Amino acid sequence: MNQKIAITASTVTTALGTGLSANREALKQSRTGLQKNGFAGVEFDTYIGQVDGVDDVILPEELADFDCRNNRLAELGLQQDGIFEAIEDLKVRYGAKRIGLFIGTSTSGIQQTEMAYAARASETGELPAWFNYETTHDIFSPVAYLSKRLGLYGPAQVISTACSSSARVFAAAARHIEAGLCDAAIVGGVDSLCQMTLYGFNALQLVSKKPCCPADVDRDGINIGEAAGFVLLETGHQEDALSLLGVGESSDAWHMSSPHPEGAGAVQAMRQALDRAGLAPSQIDYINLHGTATPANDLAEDRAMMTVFAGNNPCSSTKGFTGHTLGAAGIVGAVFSCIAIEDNLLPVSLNTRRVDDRIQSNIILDSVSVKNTQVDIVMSNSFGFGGSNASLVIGWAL
Amino acid sequence: MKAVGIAGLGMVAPGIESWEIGSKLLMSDSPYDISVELPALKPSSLSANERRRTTDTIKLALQCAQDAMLDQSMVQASDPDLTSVFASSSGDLNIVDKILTALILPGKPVSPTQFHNSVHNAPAGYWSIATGSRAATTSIAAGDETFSIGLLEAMSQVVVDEHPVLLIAYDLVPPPVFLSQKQITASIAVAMLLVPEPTRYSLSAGIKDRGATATTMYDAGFEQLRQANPAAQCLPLLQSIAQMQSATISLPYQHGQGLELRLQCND
Repeated sequence: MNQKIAITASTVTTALGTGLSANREALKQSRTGLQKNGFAGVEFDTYIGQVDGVDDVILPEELADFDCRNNRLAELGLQQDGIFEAIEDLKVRYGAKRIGLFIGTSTSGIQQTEMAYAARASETGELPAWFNYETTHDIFSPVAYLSKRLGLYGPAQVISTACSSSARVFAAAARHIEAGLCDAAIVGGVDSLCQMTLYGFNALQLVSKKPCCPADVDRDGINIGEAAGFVLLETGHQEDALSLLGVGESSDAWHMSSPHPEGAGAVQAMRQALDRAGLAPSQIDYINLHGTATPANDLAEDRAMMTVFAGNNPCSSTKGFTGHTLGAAGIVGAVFSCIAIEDNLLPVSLNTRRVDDRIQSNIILDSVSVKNTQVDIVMSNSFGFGGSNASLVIGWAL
Repeated sequence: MKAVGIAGLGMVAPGIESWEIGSKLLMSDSPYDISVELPALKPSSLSANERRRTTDTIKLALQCAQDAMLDQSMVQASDPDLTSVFASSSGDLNIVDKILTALILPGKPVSPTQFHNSVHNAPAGYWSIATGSRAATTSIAAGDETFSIGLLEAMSQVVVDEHPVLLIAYDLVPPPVFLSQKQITASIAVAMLLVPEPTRYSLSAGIKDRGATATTMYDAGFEQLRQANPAAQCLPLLQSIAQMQSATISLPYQHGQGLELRLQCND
């Protein structure tokens, strides 16, 4: 990335609430959005980060074919913080053909196919007539929906690299802008609760029965959450604008579902993001960790953090607030980073009582100790299955 | 966007186990038969143990990826600056079918291996493990225009970051239960190694607003293949490459627009 890209609007919807103010209030008050699992069809004990009101969302009539939990969540996210209006304004300024759309998701609307399988005809095995794969489950569905909903005609792609999906959208958008394929971009992530991910992670013994506690000595797994978030990116130097300063991307080249034990890929992603931002590690005021609260992730990420930051910089995972929102984790981390900078707010590592002795990073345990910290530049980490890593550096443009 | 060079190609399709065979068929006058079987999928880049744990979709993508990297004179698969773009419209519906079937059984016995193999970036993950490279990989989807969008993503990486990029576009025929929903009737994977410097071929791309008609294939069998799979939409480009013929080719693109490709053969 050779040019700075301004972040001119953002929004996020998580288990903490719909829109920015609900999320920033919960972060400020250290209040979790996790609740005891009550998700339809999921019959084991855990906590989840469910977004309220998704079931009640109604898509516009002409787009009713796209109706599924994931697109309802996308629509709910789009109704917050004036983002829809900001996109309309973006279209006036750049033209609908010059705005790129890059959305991360891991499972798109697969819940629709789960329901269709449950309703398969017992004799023929055929899927029910109401089922429409392409508009719901297809991995491209959120972008197909949002393109139509927003009237956008620029380059549009879904990135699906598991839990780094909606961090990598920033890299793709920045490249498309720099290559001249578009002048502005909407990046985001939408991932919704479904049985496949809950049972899949449970089969891998990565799900905690209790509220997840990142970096804690007693951590034993993730809580799965859902979220939608969007960020508008524009070119041109803008004074006093929050900007995407750097992105780093790497692979672990190690294992499909376990991180490299020394965090080698994570180190590479963080250093690349710093290099591209032209910043030294000491200039990062806060790191929003991937911090899923599995024993392996938090340890590997800490090794990587110690290699890059030597334990100096304050950091925390916000998974104790929202759960792990998988394909939306990158955009949640990015928007929380913007909140941290705008409010000089360092979120605590919620639910962490006693930090694992082996974890040596400067984990934020109480809000008092960081109360008067000036926060100008933040890094956000997202790592996923397949060893897919991405780090973002966000801060005030210099 | 600046032109990029093409430094390697890979192809796996019915009756075609490599670009070497595919390019000969694309040059010849004899008709292509789409009804023949897909070659056995045995990517040597995976250990026998890993091959057993992976799926046909992963094997299809990797076999094609390594085919494009056969000539190691310019770029090697393990090069730390070789990034990759995996583009697939539907990912791995065979494994999705297995997991969703498990979810309607008592106790919902989802296999952990199947679950981690179900992510859209599973082929990319196995590719990085196979090559030992920590370079970035991305995995994208864009419906029926997945090839065009994948190509633009790969070209933008080459042009902006000035390093080689391996593009792999692939889709496997889904299980029968999905066929009424997703018309992918033949499996294919294609791979292109793109580099910043000119090679025997240079490729540039532009978006055409309206009235763009996709270039088709003369041969009825190849035209059938082109229409049978989103990844096969690049066949007219592959044919011009095989024939060493400079050409302007139009591929289907989003929003009713066209992706106009200019292939320049430098001899």
